[in-house]
Amino acid sequence: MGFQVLETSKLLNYARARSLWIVTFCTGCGGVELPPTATARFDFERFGIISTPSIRQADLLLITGYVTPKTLKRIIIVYEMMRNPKYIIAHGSCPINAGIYWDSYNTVKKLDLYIPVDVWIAGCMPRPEAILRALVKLMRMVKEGKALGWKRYLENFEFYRKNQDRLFGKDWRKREIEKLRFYIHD
Amino acid sequence: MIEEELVRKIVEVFSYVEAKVKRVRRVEVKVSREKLPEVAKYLRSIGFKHLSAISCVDRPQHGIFELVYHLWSYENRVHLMLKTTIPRNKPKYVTMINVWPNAFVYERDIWEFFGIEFEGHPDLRHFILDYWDDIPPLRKDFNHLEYIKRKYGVYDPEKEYYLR
Ligand code: SF4
Repeated sequence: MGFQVLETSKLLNYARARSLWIVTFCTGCGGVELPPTATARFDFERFGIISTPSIRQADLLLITGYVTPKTLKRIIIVYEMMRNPKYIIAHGSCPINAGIYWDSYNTVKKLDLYIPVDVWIAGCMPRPEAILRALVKLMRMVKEGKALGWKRYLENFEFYRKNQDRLFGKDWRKREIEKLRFYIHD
Repeated sequence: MIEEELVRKIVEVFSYVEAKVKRVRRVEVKVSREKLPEVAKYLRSIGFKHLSAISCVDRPQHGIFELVYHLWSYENRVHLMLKTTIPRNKPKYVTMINVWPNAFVYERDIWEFFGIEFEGHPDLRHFILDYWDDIPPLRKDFNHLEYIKRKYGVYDPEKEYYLR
């Protein structure tokens, strides 16, 4: 009930669309296009977008290139730590179908099987203009209440979970926690 | 020329190595696998303090792995390639951590991608390929396509989805 009210609230959607905060997390080649997008020339801060080091306060996760299984685990953990509503933009052809790494043994072929993506950008590598266009498109989708990747993830969690388990093995979450135990204080 | 001097010096001390000048600032030294540790120690003592990389070449037609230690000397400005071969089935070699400590990472990398066990290496764990479940991927007999189909699925245009 709670999130249905939130979702249909026009005011909240309007507010959300104008304060998308990005998780500072880059994969693949695309990370190099973000500094120009963020700084003076293209300047995404005029749309109310900034990057934040805190996962819990962020709304937007950028997948900026090819994803290896090892990175995908981190992406899933980060994505699940973010609070609803949350959005994902995937840059370049690598997350779509692995692009030039189609025959690589260590690149995830279709990102959409593992986490829900809201906006895709085609190209290798997309220029800052393309990234800005995707951001504006995402803002429009959020405002109209159409960016519902996070809801898709909740509703089809079984499906995503099954694909993740098939790639990493059944108890991968436990094994990852064992690795991170040193850094977890509580 | 400094390269020829170096070659002469090395061959004088170790009569069993094959050393030759490849070109300006490149020297190649071939040595059998039993003798490599002592040659390595000597090279380190005459100025080859920097281990830039260890590369491994898989030659299935000869049944060997070739290990190449790329060394750099700051005093002489010479790049020396120290080469040795090891048999391909159940490959095993000794670690060079006691000579160049940074061999730690390179040996772990080679263990991961070629499956060569380095005796005496304290920490042979997976580095990039978490939970790898096939033969090491940079060996020539690793079948990429079969692995990809099994692990990631294939695209089916009729269903517009990935099948496993
Ligand atoms: S789409 Fe191109 S630029 Fe982007 S990660 Fe893949 S190879 Fe790199």
